[in-house]
Amino acid sequence: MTNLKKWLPGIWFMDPPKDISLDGYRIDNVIQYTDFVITLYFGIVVAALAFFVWKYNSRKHPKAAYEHGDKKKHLIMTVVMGMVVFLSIDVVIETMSFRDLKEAFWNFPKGKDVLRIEAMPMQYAWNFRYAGEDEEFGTDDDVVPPQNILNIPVNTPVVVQLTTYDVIHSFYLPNFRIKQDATPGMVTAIWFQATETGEYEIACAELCGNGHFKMKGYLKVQSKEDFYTWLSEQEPEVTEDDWDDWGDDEDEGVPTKWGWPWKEVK
Amino acid sequence: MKTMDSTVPIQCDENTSKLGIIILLGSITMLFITFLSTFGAMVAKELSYIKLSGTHQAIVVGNACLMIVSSLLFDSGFRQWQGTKSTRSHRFILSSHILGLVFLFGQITIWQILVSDGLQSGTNVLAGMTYLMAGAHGVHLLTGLVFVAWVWVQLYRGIPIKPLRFRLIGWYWHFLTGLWIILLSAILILIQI
Amino acid sequence: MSEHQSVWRKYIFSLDHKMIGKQYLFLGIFFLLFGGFQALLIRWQLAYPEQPVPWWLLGFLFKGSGGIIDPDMYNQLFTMHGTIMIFWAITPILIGAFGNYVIPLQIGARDMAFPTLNMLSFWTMFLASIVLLASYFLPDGTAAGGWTSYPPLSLEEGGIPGHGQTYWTLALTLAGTSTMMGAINYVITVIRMRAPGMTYFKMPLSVWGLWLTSILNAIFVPVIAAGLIMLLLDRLLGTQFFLAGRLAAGGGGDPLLYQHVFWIFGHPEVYILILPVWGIVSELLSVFSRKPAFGYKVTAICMCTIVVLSSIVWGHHMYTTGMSPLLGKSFMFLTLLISIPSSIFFFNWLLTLWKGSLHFKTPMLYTMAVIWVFAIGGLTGLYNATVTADIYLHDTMFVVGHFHYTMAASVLFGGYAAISYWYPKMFGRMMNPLMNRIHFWGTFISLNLVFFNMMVLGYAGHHRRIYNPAEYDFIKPLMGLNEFITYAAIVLGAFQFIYLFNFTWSMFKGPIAEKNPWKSNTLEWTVDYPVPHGNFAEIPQVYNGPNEYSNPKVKGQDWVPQSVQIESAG
Repeated sequence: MTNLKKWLPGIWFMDPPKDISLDGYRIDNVIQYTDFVITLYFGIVVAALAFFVWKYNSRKHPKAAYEHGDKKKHLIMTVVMGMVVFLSIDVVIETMSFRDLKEAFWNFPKGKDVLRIEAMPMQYAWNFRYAGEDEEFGTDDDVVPPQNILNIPVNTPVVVQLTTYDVIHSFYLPNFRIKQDATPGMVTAIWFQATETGEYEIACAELCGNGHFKMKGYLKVQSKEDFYTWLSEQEPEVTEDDWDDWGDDEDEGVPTKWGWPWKEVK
Repeated sequence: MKTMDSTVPIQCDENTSKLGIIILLGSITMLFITFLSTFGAMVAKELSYIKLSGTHQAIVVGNACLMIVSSLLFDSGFRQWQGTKSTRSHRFILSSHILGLVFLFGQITIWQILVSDGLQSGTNVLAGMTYLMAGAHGVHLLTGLVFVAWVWVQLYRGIPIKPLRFRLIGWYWHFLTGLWIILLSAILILIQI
Repeated sequence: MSEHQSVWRKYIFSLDHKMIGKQYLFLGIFFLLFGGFQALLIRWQLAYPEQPVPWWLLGFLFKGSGGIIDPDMYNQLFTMHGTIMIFWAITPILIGAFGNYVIPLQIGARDMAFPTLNMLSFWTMFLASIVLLASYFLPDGTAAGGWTSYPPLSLEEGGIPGHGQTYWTLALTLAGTSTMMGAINYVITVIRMRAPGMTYFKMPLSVWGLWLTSILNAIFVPVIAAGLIMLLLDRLLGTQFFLAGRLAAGGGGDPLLYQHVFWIFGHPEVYILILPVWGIVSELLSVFSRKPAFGYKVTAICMCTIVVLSSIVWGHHMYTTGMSPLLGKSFMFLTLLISIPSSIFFFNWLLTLWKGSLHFKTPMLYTMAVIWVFAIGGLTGLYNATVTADIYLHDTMFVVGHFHYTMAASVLFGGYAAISYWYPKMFGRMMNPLMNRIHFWGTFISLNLVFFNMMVLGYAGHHRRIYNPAEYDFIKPLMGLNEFITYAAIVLGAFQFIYLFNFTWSMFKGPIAEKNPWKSNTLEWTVDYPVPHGNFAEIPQVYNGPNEYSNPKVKGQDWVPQSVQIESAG
């Protein structure tokens, strides 16, 4: 399947952003398969149209056949063609998609080596939070790095839980082919695993106001050693205030103390 | 929606008008189904709670009974008028109208009682949805009251009235009664869960 | 009978479905131009972010912000572009204008079942338009939350200043009321007012499309009305139905509920917009192939099936909201089921051409274009129905390209086909075919360049509704394509003036049309122009199906009106 693109470029002239994720290829594959079959079917439609225009044009073919197409054989013919389309496209992509969801996108990793991160987008910035040494969120030793930068280690599954400070945002990683909405009043989750180090972009995919376009973050994929060195250099969040900062209506600066106890996957 | 340009002969007969009302009532029902489903979803998501005391429930149900009586009165009025063509049935229609009005004021009073007992629409979305459904029903009821009043005036003055119009206004009135009974029972059942 | 009517009654508060149809047509064309102009401004900003708008795009309108479009203005532009195109351009032109004009004439009725309701429907729409246009004069501008207006962004707490959103909600509620009045009228007219002999399966497919659209409207417009009322209460009275999290002081509701309500309406709405086009295309293909519509009954039944399916697939707009796996899978399965009836009637379209005698008059050209663009639009829907592909493509320009193919392109060509086809009956004159041909090729090529490349952008990751795409490194390589699309869009816009000119000019200078210039069978071509109020001197008796073309029993001509018995036609 991955070789498909070599001999058939598909209907697309432009490549998606570089895939640096463990499972992004799955999405590319389902898209490429769909590219391939719909190009084929569209080609058939265009060929049929062109043939009919050439062959049955009124100058060449002044007398039309009197054909209602209401006989049983006609019904069977169209239904069979419809089923061929359904079986060759829909059923295949459905199978692929269900398999990928089960094996990857909805199969949240568990265990010790999983890095857990809480994210809370706001108008118009990204806030991230690491559990700190006690491995519990919403405690005093949580690590909150500067806004808009998410550091993760390479080749490690990362689970991000999201909610939002104000309106709906969407956590979009083009290089990983994924996005997940952050909706007020609920915690959503997404996971991914990087396969290459480097610096990539995070975008907000859901309209969130006039600064939506500049709600950009950076994803820094580091080697494991670099990442844990970086993490240990971060100061835990200051502990002076009490925990309830959510009631403040004035949106001044960076919200603090917003972590929530980690929600286990349902 | 009943008048038409007299210069043009139009094949708009009784069944057409009846079907028109049915589809209109269907559309109105969709509006309330949406409200009710949203209410149900809010209950299922445990977004907030409503607890009604026995007295509250009695008042709410009692008020709904007024609407049922009003509907029955309208029906008796219509039947009497249909049988005898007597304009004396206007008394039934008038009492039906008055009961409708009382019901509406009852709804407003209940709303105020509930709000003063702490069921604020701003903070309790279930209460808000309940008020919204009662309010939307009330707005439709207000239109109904105008129609019923019109029927009463025609009967009282002895002006002949098209049987079809009388019947269709009755349909609308009974629909509003039925709608409120269904909404109220659904609300009362759902908040128990 | 109409001589005695005052001008006021005849042209303004007319009860005649044909005049109301024309009123809707002009309203729709006005808003089509207005919405199209806003689209060009959006395209300008995407290609040349933060550069002064040139004079030929009326740059002086942006004097306040130094000639450039600022982010607030940009959000307002795409919000209003979507709203206007869907509810004030497509709906009035296809459903308002052609629903009104075509349904009674094609089923052999004197008028709509409730003419006064019909008039009220138009004037409610007019009121809605005034409210909508008034929001442009508010100090903080129009609504800016996208045409979907998801809360909490669209609430006071969402941070968009001013009352534009309130006006938007009000205008949309009014427009919905108008649509519902129209829909009730159309549904009943088709059920009750068909001429004798006009059974359901003798109705032209165009009536089928418009009728099914109206059924969907009558069912689902109240749903969005409920959502809008709740949104309005949240904005005005401080309820918190759609507010949650920190912004909801105490209690709070759930913003996702709005998304459900919106898409329970919103997905049928897509079919509401496209069904009239499907019907018109099925009918016109038969007329210009001089051949009965292939599998007429199957096409009608497929459309009914799609109507039913369309109401249970809304979840595919919400795959990324954190839907439960079971729901996500069910919605994907149901959505993909739609491709069976769609492909069946699509094959019926193609097979109608097969062995026909194709006359490439201008309505036929536009109809063929619908086949092309709808094939692309329909097939690309598969990506968005697939949960995994949609995780990537959701909220990107791919979706924008896809729904412009299905809604904008198909509907635009369907609308042009309908206008050129019924123009002789509406205005008594023919449109200039040469101008139409030039317009057709210009539009066809530039439109494909615009919308196809939007999908390419989306495939490359370009997300939608961003003011300045050049902010992102992964979009920077796409800026050249963005410029290209903008040029294509400007060409597309420019070509529309040819049609507009042709439309206006032919009304006064076009050659006088014959009674039945296309040699069609349907009943509207049996009456002379101008069609009087009341349509038929005598209600016709219907004998034949709508597509009895090239019937060998009919001698000397390849058509036979529905009201002529075939045995006696020779």
